[in-house]
Amino acid sequence: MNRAGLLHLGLRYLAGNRAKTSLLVAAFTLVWLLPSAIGILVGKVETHLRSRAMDTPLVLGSAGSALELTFNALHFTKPEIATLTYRDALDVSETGLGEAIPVYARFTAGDNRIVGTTFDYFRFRDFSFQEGRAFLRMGECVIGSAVATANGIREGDAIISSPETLFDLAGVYPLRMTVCGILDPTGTPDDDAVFVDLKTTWVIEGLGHGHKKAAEATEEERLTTDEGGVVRLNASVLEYNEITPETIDSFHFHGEPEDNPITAAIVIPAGVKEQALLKGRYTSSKSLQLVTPTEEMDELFATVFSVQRAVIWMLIIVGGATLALGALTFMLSYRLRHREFVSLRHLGASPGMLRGLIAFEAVFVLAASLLLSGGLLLLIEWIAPIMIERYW
Amino acid sequence: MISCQDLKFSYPGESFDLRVKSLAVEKGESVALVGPSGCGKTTLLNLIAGILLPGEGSVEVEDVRVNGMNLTQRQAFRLGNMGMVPQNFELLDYLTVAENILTPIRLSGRGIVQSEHRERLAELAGRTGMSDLLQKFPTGLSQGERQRTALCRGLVGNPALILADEPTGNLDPGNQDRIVSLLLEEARRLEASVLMITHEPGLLGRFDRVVDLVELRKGADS
Repeated sequence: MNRAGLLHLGLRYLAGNRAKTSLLVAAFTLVWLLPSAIGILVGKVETHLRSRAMDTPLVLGSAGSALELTFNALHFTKPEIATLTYRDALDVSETGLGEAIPVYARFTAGDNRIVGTTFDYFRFRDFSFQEGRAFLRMGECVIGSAVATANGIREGDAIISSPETLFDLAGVYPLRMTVCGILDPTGTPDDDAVFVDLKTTWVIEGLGHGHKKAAEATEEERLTTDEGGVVRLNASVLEYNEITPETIDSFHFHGEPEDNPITAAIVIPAGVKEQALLKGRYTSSKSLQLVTPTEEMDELFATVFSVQRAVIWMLIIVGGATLALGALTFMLSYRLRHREFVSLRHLGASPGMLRGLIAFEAVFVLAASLLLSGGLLLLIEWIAPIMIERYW
Repeated sequence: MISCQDLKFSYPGESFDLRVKSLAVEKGESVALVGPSGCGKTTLLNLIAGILLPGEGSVEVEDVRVNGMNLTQRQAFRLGNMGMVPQNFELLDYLTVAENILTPIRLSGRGIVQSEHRERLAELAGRTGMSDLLQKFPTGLSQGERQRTALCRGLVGNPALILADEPTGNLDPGNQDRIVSLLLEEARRLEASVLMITHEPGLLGRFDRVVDLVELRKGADS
């Protein structure tokens, strides 16, 4: 067969009918791409979520959605979940059955979650530092590598928490925190977090605060002074919005710190037997729950996969309809081009050349759509983990 | 050049049948084929071109029996030896004028346009006044320009036989005369034979010979 002539005439026809060809290629590309892309994306998300879940044995939290609790403890999302007290976490450690690491993931600094925890979390996640060190006192923070990169932050810079009481002038003001360390990249949600001492998050919440000594307060700043000399200050007294070596002594909590809230506690049982005992201990609890993240992921992905199957079946049906419409388009195209083929036959086009020209459009559209969808799948394969790590 | 003997042809399921006892066209001869509509002029042209096959008889072109070849051979033979100039131009809208003219080159051999073909294209375009229109598409051309494009396409392969089916049918008298002049002039340059169907009495004097198909059929019937 005359391949050069066939290629020339075929390509010139496609170029002369760009809009139709582009639409067909786009439609066929979507038919090939969507089911595979969904499969790849779900697979990547599953890998990402499961790996984090597998690294976290148990999570203690307030009764409610086990999945939301898991996401709060592992991915620092769902900040609105019900809280438990720090004492609840300490109780786990006191049983001797395991260690509990508190997590208070409720507040933000810009787009990044502030995670109140203890140094045990650093040890548990086996963090290493690209700059600086772990926090040693209230008001210091350690940031994930993505936070540092995105905001151009270095050790010694400051981060300010987002206002929690924007419309309450007498409310809690944002807290300025000093960056004392930057973590190495981990490819986990830790890269996007701002880690602080648990007490720092309570200060952000307004459960602890620092201000000038009551004895030094002016008359305007005093609410009452009783006979024993106890001074009560009013809301006009200036609170410190940064915890420095100079102001740290003035920071205090009204009430027991153990009664302050946390959103979750990561529980590391001492062994398999202890894990079973711990789970049994919280099975009948009405106010608390102890969940296994891998089991939550199993449940989540059982649902996701059933939805995925339904979606893929729908896409297959829609894809079948699209292919049928494409075939119809080719048939109509052939009828519209009948006169052209007669002309070519009169000129002397060989039967093979005419068959080739008839098939060229369909073969080109199929090949182009397969190539395009293959390229896009490679792109998705490459970019999906980056996007998932960045946004999940 | 052309030799048709005892031709019999009929379309399946139709009462029309064409019988031609004998028709010969010499090398370099120009022949006008005339006859009323429906008498079989286009059918005879298609039989000579090998587009249709006779039920009986033989068609020879350049001493080669056209109806003895298979379809692929006939198509290749036509591309190599005949230039077709149809009445309705039969240009491809998605090709430029230059590409339309070069279509027979694209269809033949390896389908590669070489410098000699481009020179021939430029030469034909210059003679037919199409040089400035080579990059235009057929939809932007007048009827006369389209017919000149179709004529150039029929001549680009330097054929030994030019078969033209009423190439002036859609043209005004001025353009008719111009097209026929170009056709016959090029045929003389190539020493090619011409068999052209026409209904225009004013053009008949330009040909070496006029053949009335009705008379040919009578000869076959008797």
